[in-house]
Order: sequence, then C-alpha cells, then structure tokens
Amino acid sequence: MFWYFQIIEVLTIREIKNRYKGSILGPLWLILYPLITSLFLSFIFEKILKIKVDNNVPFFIFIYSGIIYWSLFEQGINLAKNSLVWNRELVTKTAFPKETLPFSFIFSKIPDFFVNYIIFLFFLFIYKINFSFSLLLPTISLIPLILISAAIGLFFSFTNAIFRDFGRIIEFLLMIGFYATPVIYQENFVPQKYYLFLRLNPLANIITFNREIIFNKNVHFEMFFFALIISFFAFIFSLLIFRHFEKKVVDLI
Amino acid sequence: MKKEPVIILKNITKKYYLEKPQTLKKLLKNLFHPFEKFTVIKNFSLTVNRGEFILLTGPNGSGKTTLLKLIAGIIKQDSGEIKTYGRIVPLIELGAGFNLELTGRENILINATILGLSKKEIKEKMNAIISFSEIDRFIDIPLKRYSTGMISRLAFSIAAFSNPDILLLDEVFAVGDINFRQKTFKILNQFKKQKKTIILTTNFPLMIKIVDRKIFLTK
Repeated sequence: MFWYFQIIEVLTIREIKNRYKGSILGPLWLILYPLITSLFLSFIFEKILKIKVDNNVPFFIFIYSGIIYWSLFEQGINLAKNSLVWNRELVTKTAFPKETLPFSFIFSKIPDFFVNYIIFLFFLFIYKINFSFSLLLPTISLIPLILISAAIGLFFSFTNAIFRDFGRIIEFLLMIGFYATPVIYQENFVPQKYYLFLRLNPLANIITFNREIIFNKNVHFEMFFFALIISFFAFIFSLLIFRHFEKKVVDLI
Repeated sequence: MKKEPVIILKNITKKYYLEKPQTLKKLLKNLFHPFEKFTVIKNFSLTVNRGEFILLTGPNGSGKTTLLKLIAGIIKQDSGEIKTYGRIVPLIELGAGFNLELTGRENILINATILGLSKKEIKEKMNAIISFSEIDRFIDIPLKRYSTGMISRLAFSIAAFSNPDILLLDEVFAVGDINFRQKTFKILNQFKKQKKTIILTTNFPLMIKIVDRKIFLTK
C-alpha cells in the first residue's frame, strides 16, 4: 500500500520536473493560461456581447472562478490520455500497477491549481469582493474534481493506447463539455428544464457550488455531494474497467 | 537439499495479436472473425526451485522475453497457470523507463521505486548504487548526457541493489564492456550464494559455471 502511493508520488514529481525543463518561461505558463483565457473571454462577453452576471461581478473574475476548475480537468485528462502511450517502455517492460501513470499525470496538475487559486484570491482582494474564510471552502471541491478527472483520464489512457481514435474523441468531447458546462456563463442563464443535466454534470456542480459561495455567500452542499457521488462512482467504474484491460493493453499498445 | 519451488508454470500458452485492425472496414470484419493471433508459447510447463540459476536460450522469436514477462506478471497468458513465490525483479530492458531529462540520482529514485524499494531503502542504498555504477561524477547531471554504457551500468546497479528473491534478466550481457560484465558476474555469483533464483536469457552460448540448468526454446 505504501509502495502504491510512493509510485504515484515519484511519478508525479517526475512529471512536474520534466514539464518545465527546456522551457524559458517555465512555471509562468501555468499562470498565463487561465489569465489570458479569462481576460480574452471577458473582453468578448463584456464589451462585445454586453452580457452581465449577477451582483455585477466583473466578468474577468467570474470566468476565472470557473476556468481554474475547468483547466485542471481539461489539462489533466489531456495529459492522462497519453500517459500510457508516452511511457510505452514502462508499460511493456516493467511490473507495477499501471493506473498510477494516468493518476500521476492528473496529480501533477494540483500544484497549478493552488497557484491559480491564490492568484484568484488576490484578484478578489483587488476588486474588493468580500473576503472571508468561506473562500477557502471551495478547495474541498478538489476531491470530486480529481476523482472525475481520474475517471475520464483512466478510461481514455488505455483506450487511446489501443486505438488512437479515442484521443481524438476525448478532445472533441472536452470541447463540447466546455460549452455544455457553465464555465463562461452563469447557471441561471440555462432554462430550468435542462437543470437535470447540470446536476448530473460534476463539473457544473463544482463550479456553481464555488460561485455561489464566493459571489452569493450561499453554501449549496447538495451540489457538492452530487458532484462527489457521481465522480466517485465514475471513478470506481473506470478503475475496474482499467484493471480488466491492464494486461491486454501491454499486448496491444 | 530440499527442493522448494518458487516458479511454477503449468501448460502455458501465449498468443500475440499480429496486427490491430487499422481501418474501420477491418474492424467490422474482425467483429465476426476475431483478431488473427500468433502462438509464441504453446503448452509450456516448468518448475524452478529456490536458488536455481537457469539459462534460457533459443533463437530470436522463440519466446524467451515473453516467458520472462509472463513470470513477472507484465502480460497475461491465454491459458495455463502461473504461480510465483517471493519478490520478482524483472530486468527486461536495462534502463526501461529512464527519463533522459532527469539526473542520475532522480532516475535512481524512480527506477528503484518501480522495482519495489521503499524510500527508506533507497536512501540507504543510494551511495552503494552510485559507487557500484561508477558514475559518481555525473550522478547529478541529466541522463541525456550519459553514454549508453553509463546508462546500462546505472540500470544494472539499481537492479543489483533491489533485493530480489527472483531475478529475471533479459540479454543483460549484450551491452557493456568487459569490466562491466565481470561486475555483473560477480553480483550474480553473490546472488547464487544467497540462494536467490535467477533466470537469464541469452542468444549466444555463455559458459558460466554457476548455471544449474539450460533450457532451449524452439520456435
């Protein structure tokens, strides 16, 4: 059991160290991505489309509050889907639980999340949005967020290793998911009849749960639990399928 | 001397897929006529006792590596039964999974972890591994600056200190200079005295006195 976590730890650190070798801006990239996305999108929404969100929250802050969760999800899955392909040698020539590979790629994105979250708190401070301990509550969302990212990442890591088509499929699904999830818009823009889909979407629950805490001071724990339960079962399901195909992948990769 | 089996293979058959269906048309065809398979090992049985040193020879494609991978549990047999007792350290390829961007020391931590050592054990053995591999001077620079021989030496050193009960070595003598070979022999001799089980595959005849049994695989 200790060994299992040691593998995840060692592989996660390997991935983080490896990521910034040979890049000039280095870790600055992880700050730039959500920052530039949020600035650009807020310009489009505020100045061109002239949309407003509740409580007159600046659009930049509003988008940033969703992007930080979405980017862990998206970037984590995009790394995890290639984790077996990129580590073919480890997969075919060494004996260890292979699911630690996609896990470690997703975990390697957690430090990024915390850096971005601190920057987010900093912006809240600048824009003078209420600043209290309840703002640290959203970090518990990391649990369902990691679970759902790992669930999808695990599934696409081994399917992509067998047929590269799955790598394309998940890229496409992530793009659709981005628009189907209230990341760049507010949940109550969505007609009531579609709410069931939002509650079934862990990312929608996570993002709205957080926005309600930060911008409305409402704690919707039911959203958090929806996200947790759905992510948990998705994770278990995905892990079981992965374990079933683990050794077949070695022959087919 | 009492015989104590540590590896038991019973009627093992292993088939590989020759190819994946690369087009949709082939995939649909395959739904009705399953993948074409190629039999590498057919109905193979073997019992290895504790402390035995086995030399596995045979031409290319006779299934030597496949057999080691099956024993290590990296791949699964199509039929038959495999039982093993004790900690297995497979060395299918020297330096499999090494990261060229990271330093020698960082790679020792990763590789030794995958071979099953705890952090504490790695910390204790770090200096011994480094001095055995004879790359003290270069241990804190990235692996991409190493020569092939240095990488092989580092990989073998990690395995040598990984405390295996069963050591599976695939063609480790195909690389390295005379000096390195002598060192490997020395370690293998030491393992033999410690009653560790060793299976070594090779393509060309090796005259080693400590071999207990030679097994010749055919196609």
